[in-house]
Amino acid sequence: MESKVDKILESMETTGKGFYSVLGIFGLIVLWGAYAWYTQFTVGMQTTGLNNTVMWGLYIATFMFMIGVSHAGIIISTSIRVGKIEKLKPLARIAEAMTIAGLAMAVLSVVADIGRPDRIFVLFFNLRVTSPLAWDLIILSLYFAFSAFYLLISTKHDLHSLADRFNVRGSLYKFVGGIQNAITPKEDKAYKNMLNTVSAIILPFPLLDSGMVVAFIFSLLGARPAFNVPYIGPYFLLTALVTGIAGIVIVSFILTKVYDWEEIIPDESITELAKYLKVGIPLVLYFIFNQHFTFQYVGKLSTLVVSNMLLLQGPHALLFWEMIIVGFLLPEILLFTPNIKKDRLFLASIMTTLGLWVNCILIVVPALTFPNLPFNWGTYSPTWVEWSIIAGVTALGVLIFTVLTKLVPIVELD
Amino acid sequence: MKENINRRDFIKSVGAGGAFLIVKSMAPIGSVEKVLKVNQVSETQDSGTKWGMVIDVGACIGCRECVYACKAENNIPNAPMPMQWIETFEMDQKDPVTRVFSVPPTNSKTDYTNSPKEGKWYLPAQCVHCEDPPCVKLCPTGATFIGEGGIVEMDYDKCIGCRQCMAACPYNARTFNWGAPEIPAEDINPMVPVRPVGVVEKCTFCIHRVREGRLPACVEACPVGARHFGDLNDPNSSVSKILDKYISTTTLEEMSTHPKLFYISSGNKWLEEG
Repeated sequence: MESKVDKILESMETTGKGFYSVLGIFGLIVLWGAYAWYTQFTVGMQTTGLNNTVMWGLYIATFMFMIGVSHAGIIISTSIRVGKIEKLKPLARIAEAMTIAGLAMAVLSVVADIGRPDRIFVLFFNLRVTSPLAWDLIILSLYFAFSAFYLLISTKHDLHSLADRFNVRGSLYKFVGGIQNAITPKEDKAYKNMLNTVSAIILPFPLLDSGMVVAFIFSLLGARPAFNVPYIGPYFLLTALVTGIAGIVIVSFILTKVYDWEEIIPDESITELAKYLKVGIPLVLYFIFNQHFTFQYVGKLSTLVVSNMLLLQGPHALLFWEMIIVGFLLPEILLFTPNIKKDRLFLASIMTTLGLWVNCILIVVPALTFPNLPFNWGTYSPTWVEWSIIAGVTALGVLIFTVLTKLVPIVELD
Repeated sequence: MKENINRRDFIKSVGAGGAFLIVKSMAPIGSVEKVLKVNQVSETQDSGTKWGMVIDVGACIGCRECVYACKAENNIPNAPMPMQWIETFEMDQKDPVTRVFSVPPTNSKTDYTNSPKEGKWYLPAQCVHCEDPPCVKLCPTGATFIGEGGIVEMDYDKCIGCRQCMAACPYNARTFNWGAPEIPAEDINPMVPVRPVGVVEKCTFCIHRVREGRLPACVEACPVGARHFGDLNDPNSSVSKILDKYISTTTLEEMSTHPKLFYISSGNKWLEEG
């Protein structure tokens, strides 16, 4: 037991070549993204591939995707607390850190999408309650606040034991420890109760987020028949949860490899998640099938065109079938190979994650390319500015997570 | 042409479509009128002024004079990206009206030349100033709102450029300032603000002119008198009289947005007159 704690603490104390190269490479990507965003801000959004017909693209799709990444924390904590799956315990803190990084990336993706980020504070003074965007703002703020609060109070014991070990950071830990002691009860039982209560409050947030307010941004658009369908909520919730699961597999696999943590994060912990993916991926395919089957069978032009665009014609169709085969079918076959090891699960998760991200893009773009009145059909292909900003946002998420691993024991110590 | 169909009934039965029938079948709940009005943003529009427009697609020759007058009046830039608040479509005569108004027929275009052509008709489209505008409901900051006389207006200082309203608009009536507009100083109309980069804009029914008792620029510019503007609540206004005389329709009625821009056809005028 002692050696396990030592190993985790060692990973926090030492900053090797690997850590600095991560900081360097991802820092450069963040800087590049910042430059792209500066270009977009000064020159205007004409630098993007967006236009008056397809007014949403990569940014909004990435927002949807990152909200899914942020559900990692809730999936794991719910599995442990409600499902009593003790195997997943070593992954809990990793997943909670992913929630923080995922939400940061989601918010930045939206900020990149709006034309006047300098006016973002107008939202706080003039919020119109009938707007789904206003609901998003409120729910996401609460989600972030509760997740950060949970991370703060749940690290009380760990940080307490760290305060004396570090010289420079010790005072920071003492300061945070002081806050933690002030807001949490002293007795162990009451403290556990508080942890349980806060995680119970966070529990319904995937439903409120992906399942409702994020979906409402799309499903409440009566003008877009392919969005304006009631199943969008459950569909978004499902894809977001699968994104979160695949995300935890990827992150915990990389951490295990980098720090040589085979005993700290046992293989069974990670491969346990294969069960979730095995069920999740076919359910995503089920939703996609039902959507296209309905659109094709009814043949109403406004939705049929969107369906055809994905199934049959154009650049979207190629991407769509790649997504179906590489993103969903192949990983599902991989998962069903006997005696699954975490390497294979890692590969399957990478493919699924890419597939789900493409899926977000393919949900947003084709439904917008087709105006109601006889305008020309819209086209959209992202520019370097959009790719750079998305890369920068993702790199910033990686940096936030990496720094968190150095500040907080990323696996619970006891 | 004299029609016995009351205009309101016509709009109701055609416009509300299926929803209307379903609501009617649940009659005991309450009066149909009441149920239909539940999701209307403003009810005050039944009294006072309600500005509306009528476009006679039979008279329209597709000359785009309205487009140019609108651009000049409202400081709509050509650079860095050409923008316009009015779009005119060339439609095929053989296309049934219902098809034209509900889904895009592939044989229509906006980049036509040498109008009018035989076998074609022309559909000018712009913001229809809905009585129940989806854009107003969905705007997170209240930058777009129903202003005086029921005109859907924009407050350019409040717009954060999220483009939710553009996604919500069934008519594609809104344009976004993808770059900072470049207009020569001598061409700027001081009555209309030049929009900054990153905000959404749209037709205002030339509210600055209407306030002074003048007609919108597009109405004034139309060489064939295809456009009419006035108070829909005033039975003696030109628009009310026209709507009493002709069967009218609005675009995308199934969206239940209740447009205040109506289309009529008084027969193919330019073809008859040569």
